[in-house]
Amino acid sequence: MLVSQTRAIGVEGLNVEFYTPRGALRAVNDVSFEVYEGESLGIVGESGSGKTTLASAIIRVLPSNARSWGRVTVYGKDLGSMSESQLNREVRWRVISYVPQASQNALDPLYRVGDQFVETVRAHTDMSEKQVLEKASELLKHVGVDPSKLNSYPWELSGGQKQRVMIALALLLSPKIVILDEPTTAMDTIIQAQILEMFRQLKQFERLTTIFISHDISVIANVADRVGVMYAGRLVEIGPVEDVFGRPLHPYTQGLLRSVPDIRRKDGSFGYIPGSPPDLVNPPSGCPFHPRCSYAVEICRKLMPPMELYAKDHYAACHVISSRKDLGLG
Amino acid sequence: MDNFTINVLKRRDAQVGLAIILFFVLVGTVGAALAPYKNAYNPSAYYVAAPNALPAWVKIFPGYSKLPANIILPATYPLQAFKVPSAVDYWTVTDPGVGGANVVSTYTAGFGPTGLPNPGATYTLLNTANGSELISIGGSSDAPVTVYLTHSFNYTYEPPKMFYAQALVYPAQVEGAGLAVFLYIKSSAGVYPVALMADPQGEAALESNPQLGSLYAQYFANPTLPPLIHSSWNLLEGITTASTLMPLYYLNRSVSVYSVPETVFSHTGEYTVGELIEVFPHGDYSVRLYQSDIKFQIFGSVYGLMGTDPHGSDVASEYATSTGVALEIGFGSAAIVMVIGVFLGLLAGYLGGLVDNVLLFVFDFLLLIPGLILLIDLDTTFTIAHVTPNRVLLLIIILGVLGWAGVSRIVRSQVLTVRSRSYVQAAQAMGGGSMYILRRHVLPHTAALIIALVTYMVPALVIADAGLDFLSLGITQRPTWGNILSNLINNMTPTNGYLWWIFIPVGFSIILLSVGFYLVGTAIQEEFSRFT
Amino acid sequence: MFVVTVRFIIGRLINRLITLLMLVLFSFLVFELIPQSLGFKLGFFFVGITQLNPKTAQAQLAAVDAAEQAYGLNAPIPIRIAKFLYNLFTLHFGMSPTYKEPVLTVISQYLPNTLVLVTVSLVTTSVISIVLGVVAAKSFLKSRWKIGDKAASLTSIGAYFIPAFWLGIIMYVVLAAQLHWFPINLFFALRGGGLHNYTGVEYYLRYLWAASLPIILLTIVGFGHRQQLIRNNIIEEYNSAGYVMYARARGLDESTVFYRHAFRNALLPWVTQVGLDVAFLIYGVFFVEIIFQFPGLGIVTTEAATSFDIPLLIGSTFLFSVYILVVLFALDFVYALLDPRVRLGE
Repeated sequence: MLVSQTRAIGVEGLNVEFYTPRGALRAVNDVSFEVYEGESLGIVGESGSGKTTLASAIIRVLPSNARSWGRVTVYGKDLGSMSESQLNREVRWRVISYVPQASQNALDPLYRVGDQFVETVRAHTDMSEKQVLEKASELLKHVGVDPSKLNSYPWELSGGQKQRVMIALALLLSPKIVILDEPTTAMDTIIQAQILEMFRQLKQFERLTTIFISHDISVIANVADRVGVMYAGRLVEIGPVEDVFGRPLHPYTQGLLRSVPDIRRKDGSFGYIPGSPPDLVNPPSGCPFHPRCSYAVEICRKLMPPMELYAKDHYAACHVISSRKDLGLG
Repeated sequence: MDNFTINVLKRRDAQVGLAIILFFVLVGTVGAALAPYKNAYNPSAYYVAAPNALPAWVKIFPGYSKLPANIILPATYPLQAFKVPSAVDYWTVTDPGVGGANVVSTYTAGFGPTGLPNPGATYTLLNTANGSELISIGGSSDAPVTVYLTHSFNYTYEPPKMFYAQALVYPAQVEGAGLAVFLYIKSSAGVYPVALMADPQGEAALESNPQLGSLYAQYFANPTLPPLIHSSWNLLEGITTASTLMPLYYLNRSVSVYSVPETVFSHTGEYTVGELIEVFPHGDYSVRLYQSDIKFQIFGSVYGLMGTDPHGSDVASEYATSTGVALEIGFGSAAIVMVIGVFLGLLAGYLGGLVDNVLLFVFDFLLLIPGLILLIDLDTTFTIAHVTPNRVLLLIIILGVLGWAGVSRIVRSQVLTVRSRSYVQAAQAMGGGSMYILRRHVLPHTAALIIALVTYMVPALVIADAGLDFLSLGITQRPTWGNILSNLINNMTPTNGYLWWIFIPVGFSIILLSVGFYLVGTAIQEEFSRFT
Repeated sequence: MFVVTVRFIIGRLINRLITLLMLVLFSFLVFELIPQSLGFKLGFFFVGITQLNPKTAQAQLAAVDAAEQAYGLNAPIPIRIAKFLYNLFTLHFGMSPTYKEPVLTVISQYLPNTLVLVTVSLVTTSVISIVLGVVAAKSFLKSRWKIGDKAASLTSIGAYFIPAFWLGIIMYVVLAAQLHWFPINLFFALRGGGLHNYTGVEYYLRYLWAASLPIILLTIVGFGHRQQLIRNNIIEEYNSAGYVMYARARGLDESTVFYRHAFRNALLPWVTQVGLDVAFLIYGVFFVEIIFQFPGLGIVTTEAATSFDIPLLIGSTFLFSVYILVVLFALDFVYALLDPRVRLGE
């Protein structure tokens, strides 16, 4: 593996709470993981499981009604102790850049695409406008978008084009880390493959560290070295991608994998997880998954299971794993 | 009650808002029903107390504790108008017995000053049914004979701004004598005649009085004073606002016209008010005199719950009835707004296409053009064309017809949202008719929003009407919030404390009403958005 | 792209002209069709009689009939509509029966005063609403106790709920009539009660002095709604718009994120609201002119309504409408400048 021992991102006990009229909503709950330089971490989970909030919490761009605590380090530097301007100067976009979901309208509709490239670079370097546009054109060609789109407004672009423009924008300052939130949902499969290939090369030659956030397990399986599974704001399982998808330990991961339609499956059926995701303002006691879990026992209702190591680098948070014969754990 | 309603009612802001609205509804209904003056702008409701009288409760403050209260003698209408035999006992008849006069005083139930024209001012009391006191005086004398009807009371205040005295007298028989009737007020400082009427013989006798003759001559020379007419009811009255007609002013030139009340009520203590009957006989005489509607009023500088306005009208009555009108207009036109607005909004949202485009244009038209100008235009035309004599109804209709555009717009956009939801599409696919879908799926989901909207509309409509009234284009000749405020502009001065007891309640009512409805509307809207 | 912009402007112009046309038709409906259908002789409007005098009824009715003849009030309706339109758009409003002068002459004396009040207060309310809106939103987003937001929002909500004609009376009685900080009316300010004849700069300064109290009142009652609107919009944009979050993530500095992205997007609904608030300011100007005795079109219109001077009423309705539509058209430009989607026709 290309993964080095330099820790690019460390997340320890990260929590995010939103204040809503109904009460505090814990969108991210005690999440810890680390990503090493040149590594690609995938994060999967249903929508509303806190994946996007996790990304915004790492780069500290939460809305004003949210509060976060816990520790986030980037190459050893604690982001929590940095001021907003220090973050802007030293971390954001130079070290970590971010590709939001296309559906979020992340590009401001009032400005041309080119202007948004220029304003980004201008915030960090004193490159001239011409240089910026040249570099942007080059990057756009890379991601397969006609550079003339720099003169367009974001609402004149298709969803796939917007996603690729934002990928180009994320790579503009050659960052060390890129967090991608559902980067391929609006793309057709051929472009999707091209983009994923590009990231594979960036990882290989530039030692780019990436976090891919997606509900699409096939994308994650394609690009990630390790994968984390989120449920109700918690990380319930994390480990090497072959292990997690090949020998899933957590009942939720198993359910998630069963619910992926598989054309190889003969009967054409696919499983689903009964029930619905929990209300995060009044989460269930104990393990948040227990109301939907067919293995749940008494302790699951009372106690949140801790993350435990079950195989090499493979952690899961579940009370019943060790008692389950079917998993074949020694 | 469904869950949604309960959730709204549980909110503190909704409770406060509802309490405010309930207060106004109570004032506008119960208060208006209890108000003693249904239209305080009618001249017959003027002068219930002195003009610009303060509310009675200011007397709890030390500086105001001596302000005169409203004193009316006798206090009740049956006593004033001699409707009960005890009215005779109210007045003490004093007979000096000069020349062996025989004075008989009796209650007469079957005779009284019925059918007299109403003079229009409220402080003047005119009987509408029988009831009077008959005083018979007879004997033989050449010296003047004087009979008093008196009542004593204790006066403990500062001098009043104004007082009034009246009596109706009917000289049924005056034989062998001249007659003069005085109304007077007596204190330890002296006797103050405040009203006087005499027949020609009595006038001559008074003018020939060696001490006072020339002054009486001046008094009777006043052309506005009619003489006492026999066999007819004569209104005898004196009021400080017309003190140049008062005998007091002629008989005692040291009293300035402007300081009559201060002179008469210069100190506290026992006062006597009464009627003085002066008979000027020459030999045998017989006088029979009926009296009724005797009333002395010392106008209070404090009155009722909210004082009086520059006409001396009861502000509490004005306030209660005007609140009633405000709510009538607010709720009435809001109902019209709701019906038209919801109907056209649903139509535009549901039918779409050309109908939607045309209606949307009309909504924008009504929203962008200042409603006041359209309102003035419509109001003027309908007034000229005498569409309805009921101004309140006319304004309700005009405000309703012009105000619905905002409701329509929001209903329309809400319908578009609801329509795109899958269950409406499912209902459509299953062949539900338009009306069925509207009633079953669209209306229940827009109802709360519509109610919130209309809630916001009510105070806006009330203020629109108050504005029209303020510009004297709305309701006229009766108290409304707008009329009360517009009457204030020229009457507020530092000496009357800027009429704060009128100005503050009306202004704050408009503000509070807006706040009340705003709170309820916001509560409904917030619960609604949480609901969906 | 230039072509698209021209097309947008022509489109808005046509839209505004149709609105004006509808207003004129509304006037026709209200002042000619409705009274006539209720059996009222329109000639009365033009001779200035509302009630017949029993002694001279014959002569009056003859005058009414003559007026109906002269103004062609019994012609077929399409012809009358055409004539009505022609007269208004060529500013032929006829004679005012109460002023015994052409309506245009009467209006042109008073219109400038009203235009000054409305236009200046439109600017002041706009500036104050934006400044206080930004202050409140910044305080809400950045400060711990949000005191700035609470103070600014309470002020504007409070001001919004106060009826203009109530606050105006207080201001007039206390500040003008009592303390004499402001003149008691325009005539007094300009002529010193008939004793002076100010000219030049002094004239304009004194005019401004008289106009300031009305403008202050219109500003107080007029800025609140837009202040709350822009405050809420900025907060909403800042907290939930994807592009604000993205701008922050890109490490743009705070003021760029706030003004270039959150504020400018929040400004769009605000511009729309300015259009609605013009109507509100014109509503307010009627009260302000009467309370502060500032002779403008509001007073004239009110008097025209109470004295049933219909030609004057039609004229002032038309000019108020033209003014509003000119302002709305100007706002269309502003909106197009701010929002490329509108300009280029998404």
